Amino acid sequence: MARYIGIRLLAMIPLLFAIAVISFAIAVAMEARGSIAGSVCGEGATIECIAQVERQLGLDDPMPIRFVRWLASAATGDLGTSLTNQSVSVSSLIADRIGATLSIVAYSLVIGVAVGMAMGIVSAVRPGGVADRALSVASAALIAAPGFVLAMLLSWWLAVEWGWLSPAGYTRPSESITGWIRSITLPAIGLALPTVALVQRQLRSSMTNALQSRYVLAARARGIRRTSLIGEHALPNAMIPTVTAIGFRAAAALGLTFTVEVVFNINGMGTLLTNAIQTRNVTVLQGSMLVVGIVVLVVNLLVDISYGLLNPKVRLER
Amino acid sequence: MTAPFLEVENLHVHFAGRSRLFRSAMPTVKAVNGISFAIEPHRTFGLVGESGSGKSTVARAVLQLTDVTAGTIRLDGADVTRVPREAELAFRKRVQAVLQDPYSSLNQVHQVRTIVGDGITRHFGIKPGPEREQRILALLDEVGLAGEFLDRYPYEMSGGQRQRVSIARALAVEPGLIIADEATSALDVSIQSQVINVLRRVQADTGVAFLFIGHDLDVVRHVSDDVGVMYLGYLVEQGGADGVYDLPAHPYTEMLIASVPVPDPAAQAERRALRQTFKKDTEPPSPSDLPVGCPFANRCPVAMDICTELMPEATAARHGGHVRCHLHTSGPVLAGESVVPYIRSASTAR
Repeated sequence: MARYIGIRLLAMIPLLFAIAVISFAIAVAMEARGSIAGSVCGEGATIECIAQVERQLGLDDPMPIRFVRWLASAATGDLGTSLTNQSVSVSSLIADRIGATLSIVAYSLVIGVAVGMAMGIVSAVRPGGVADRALSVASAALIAAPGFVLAMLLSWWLAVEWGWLSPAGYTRPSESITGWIRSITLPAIGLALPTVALVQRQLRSSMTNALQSRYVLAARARGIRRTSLIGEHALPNAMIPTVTAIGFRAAAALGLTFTVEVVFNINGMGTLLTNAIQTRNVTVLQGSMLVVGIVVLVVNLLVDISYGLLNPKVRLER
Repeated sequence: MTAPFLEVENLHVHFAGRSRLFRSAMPTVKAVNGISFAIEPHRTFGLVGESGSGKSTVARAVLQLTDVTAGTIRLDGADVTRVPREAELAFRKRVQAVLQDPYSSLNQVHQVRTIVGDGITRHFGIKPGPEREQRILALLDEVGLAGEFLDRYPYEMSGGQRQRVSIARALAVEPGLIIADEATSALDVSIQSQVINVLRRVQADTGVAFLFIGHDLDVVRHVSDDVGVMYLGYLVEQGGADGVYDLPAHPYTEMLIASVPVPDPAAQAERRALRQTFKKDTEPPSPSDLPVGCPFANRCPVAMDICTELMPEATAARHGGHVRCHLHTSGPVLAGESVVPYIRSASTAR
């Protein structure tokens, strides 16, 4: 297993490099349209100001040199300073925002996977039964309706009417743990609903197959308990394709936080990135994309590790 | 003769077909239609027939994995046709199964230790630990696997090794009866005989009774004391293994024998000629739409008028068993003699 994780880690290095190249290249492509120095100097910029800023920021150097310089300082955690406010470093901006986004995504995955798995197992135990049909209809509805719309409807009761949760804004865990949970629950539910549907569908199908397999038949003939047939015999097998689906969903959820952040008025990575694009804040954009890319890589690593834990074939062969 | 461990009497298993979508009644699938046999300890009963003949349904019915429509199953004299929930665990300890496909019948995420050991934990209450380990090692030794297999996963083993693990898994609960449903069918011929030898040794050591199900009459005869030939849910012929093989009284049994190739060219040519007489391309009737008469009539080279009108009753055969075929009571009246000379003369006359 250690060897498997080691190989997965090594495989991340070229991916990391590719993410760095892409983050840098996209930002440079934006720069070609609007001048960075122009946006620093503001309206009515003089040629002197632009030339000075370009020299100061090293923008007149050849592209590969700029990339290596950016990458080298990024490796030390220095992503430069924001172009719209030179006194603020990009890393501090990201550090300020990433907590909200990561906690919402992680919380939504916990809710989505737990509820989806429970629903999938109940469906698979008696496929075609009343419970299965009700849950499958619910899943179809969840896939059809955008999660944040449903979360807004939920917020009417949970936040506005009953006041259990906060309808908008983000409270840091350092300020108040309960306030933090109240502030991220609704956005997390919004993000979790499609995950619930995805996990329910995937697990229902793979679990139904597993429960009809010969090894479960043999285990039944051996008198193995029903709970153990489901939990120890069928579930580990059925989870193998489900974990892959959860991995895809985790990456997609990171992308979808952008809408959720807007709907619930939360200052996270999503708003940081969209603002950076609108103001052509190239350094912030580069840094945020790099960090989000790294988060996706880490999620993939976690998926690979749990995949290896579930499937001995994967764990030992590679 | 010792008392039989398993007695199956007039077993019927029908599956009610029902369309979920239109709620209309679909025809009932009659998989097993009144079969009876018994197996004593230390003995093997072979059940042979084509796929779709209902062999595996018999296995599932005896294993309490499917509902019995009618008939009685007795274990050691006690009725186990419908085992109540509270008695299920005790029943499971007495009847075990080795299933066909060595690839899908072992759980790919479990090591051999778990595969063989969980039955020990379930039935003897021995938690994972040195005592259970000792038992697993003894079982692996019994089926000819070394201790190093404890940590293996199914995909790290060959088909024969997997099937040995399957046998060890069945033996782990110390059953009185093991049902081997096509247990060697997926294996190479040389591996087949190894696994069969393992089964034999196990029987000699433990006295377990076997219900051996297969489609290859040669293999079934080789391992069985008695055989039953199944066709569309009916036991068309049964008796001592050698008797049925040497003096087949039912045309279908003869067809099964003729379908096995033999290494002697002259005998093979004879079998090939015999095979020509069977209407091989004719499909057997559907088990959801069984004919009134003999189910084999539409493929039988020597069918008579009565065969399409009346299902024949069981009559005594020369080999000491029974046969269900009108040839023995009407037409040529073979009266239990082998059907082989009659089919040959009938086919040469044509």
